[in-house]
Amino acid sequence: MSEACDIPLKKIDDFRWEIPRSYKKGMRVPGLIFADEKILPKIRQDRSLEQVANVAHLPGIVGHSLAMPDIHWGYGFPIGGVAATDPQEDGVISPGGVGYDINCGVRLLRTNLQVQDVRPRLRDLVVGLFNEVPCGVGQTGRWKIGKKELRKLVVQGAKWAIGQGYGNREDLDSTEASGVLEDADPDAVSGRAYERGSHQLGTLGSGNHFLEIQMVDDIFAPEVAQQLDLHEGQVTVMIHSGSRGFGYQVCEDSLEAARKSLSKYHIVVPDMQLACSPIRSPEGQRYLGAMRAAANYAWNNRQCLTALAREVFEFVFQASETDLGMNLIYDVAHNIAKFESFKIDGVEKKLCVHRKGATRCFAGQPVIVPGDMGRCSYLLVGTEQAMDETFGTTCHGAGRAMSRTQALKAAKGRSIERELAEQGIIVMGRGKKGIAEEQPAAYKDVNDVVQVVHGAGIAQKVARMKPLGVIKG
Amino acid sequence: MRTFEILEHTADVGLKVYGTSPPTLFINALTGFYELITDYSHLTRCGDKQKKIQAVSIKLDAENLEELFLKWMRELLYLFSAKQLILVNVVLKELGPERLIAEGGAQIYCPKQQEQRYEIKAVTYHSFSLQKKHEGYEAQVILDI
Repeated sequence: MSEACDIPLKKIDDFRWEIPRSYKKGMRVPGLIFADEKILPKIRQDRSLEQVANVAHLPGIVGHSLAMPDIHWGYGFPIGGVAATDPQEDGVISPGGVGYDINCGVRLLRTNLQVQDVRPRLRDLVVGLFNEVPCGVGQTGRWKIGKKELRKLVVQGAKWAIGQGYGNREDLDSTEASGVLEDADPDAVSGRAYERGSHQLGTLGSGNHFLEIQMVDDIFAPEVAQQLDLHEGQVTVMIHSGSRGFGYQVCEDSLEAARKSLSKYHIVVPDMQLACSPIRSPEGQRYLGAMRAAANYAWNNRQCLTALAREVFEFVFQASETDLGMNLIYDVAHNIAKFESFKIDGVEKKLCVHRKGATRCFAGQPVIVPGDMGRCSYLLVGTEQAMDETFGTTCHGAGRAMSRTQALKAAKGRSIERELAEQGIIVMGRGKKGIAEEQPAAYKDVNDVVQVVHGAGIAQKVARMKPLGVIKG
Repeated sequence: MRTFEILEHTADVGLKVYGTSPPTLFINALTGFYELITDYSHLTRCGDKQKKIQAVSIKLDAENLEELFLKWMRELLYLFSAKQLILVNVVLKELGPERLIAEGGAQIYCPKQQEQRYEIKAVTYHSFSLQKKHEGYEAQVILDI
């Protein structure tokens, strides 16, 4: 269903390629793609570059329509797309620029455990996590929350979960935006979203979401790693999930409203999925209020998943989470829109930064980039270069290389679980099909993606983690 | 005549649905939708005697048949995602381009007993089409999973 893209690109340097404004009538800014010669042909296999050019049409867009090296085709915006819009210049907010899974994100926990401590108990850990962490189709969570309580939760952000005893203050300090977007509007959220969210808190979901036990395999920036209390051979836990049905419903409700507002505000976009509303319009404000509520739901979800993971480790090792040193290194959102200040031509401006499949990487901030269940994931750190060039943003993952059907074909006659077990990785998922579809080869190599952002200076490599045990929905 | 096909998509999944008339198109879309989630043909063929069937009635209004189709798919998604309900024995009491009235039963999906396939999270607008062709109706929809 996807076709190749032959947009002419202007090479700026080994890691930067431009789509000039002249490429398409109506582009307000050029496109800027972070990629190298190795990754570019893969990017050209779908229509994502055309989508970068389409995003450049958004009213009020500032600088460039940006694309990270893990860019691939998405709905309206590409996944891996970044756009900052200026509210003072009639800038818009686009639900498609955030995506369906609002505040889908990743968090990384450290432990005091070494790989040799975990190997003998690995199966117990994976089975324990699989039993305790609801994942897959139609699974409900431990928490059933009525609308009244959900309204509080979506305003308070992760502080709500901490108040219920599912984490500690330090977790908030290590979460992007301290786990809360202010000015969430519970009245802007539909009843259906509350219904979908009432039983899904603390559930992983399915698709590419996972919970993974890992070991630190390589350190690239020893000083930063030391500050984060990380060293080679140490065991870490990575959690990838989002706002579940709550966020999906918010997006669905808002897309409809944004589509209807296009003619009202005389906005022309080349793709209806880029439907948007001026930030300062009632429609824009309503979406922002609902989107923030969904983002806050997601931080609570990852916080509750963290509590479940800590419980399982405590049970298996018969030690407290404090003794196990299960501290949060960081939690990042990679589907979100936030107001942040940047210097544009020497003038400080507060912009609305859409990150869809892209991660905030403010200078010195830890950045978590998951790979696939066979190869590796990365911990990076933000740089000043990113602040100057990408609105403090970098890549978010590997991106799919195969469709689900192709992956199933590639797995025919094989057992992906057994192949991974031979590499020392225990994987548990709901059904063999899901694991086959999510097999390592279905993804691009995250090493290639990280090489580009590191080379371009829009993030710096800190550590690489290899999977030991994985649970998938 | 064909009822539905599952379409290949990089990260998500698509449905191509066929029907000799709008009602058959809508019912085939329902079957395709549930087949992506679980083994729906097994569920409807064998049933589950233990499972209580509850009555469901749906009324949807739209500006045209295309919008009505998307609303229908989104209603099925909402019932599953919010209430874990899977519709069975659905009868379309009325289906015009602007209104749908459906009645039928619903079972609560149990992930421990029923096959788990895809968790459908959204019905997207991408590449959506609904056309009347010489041999009947055809619709295509991409579902975010």
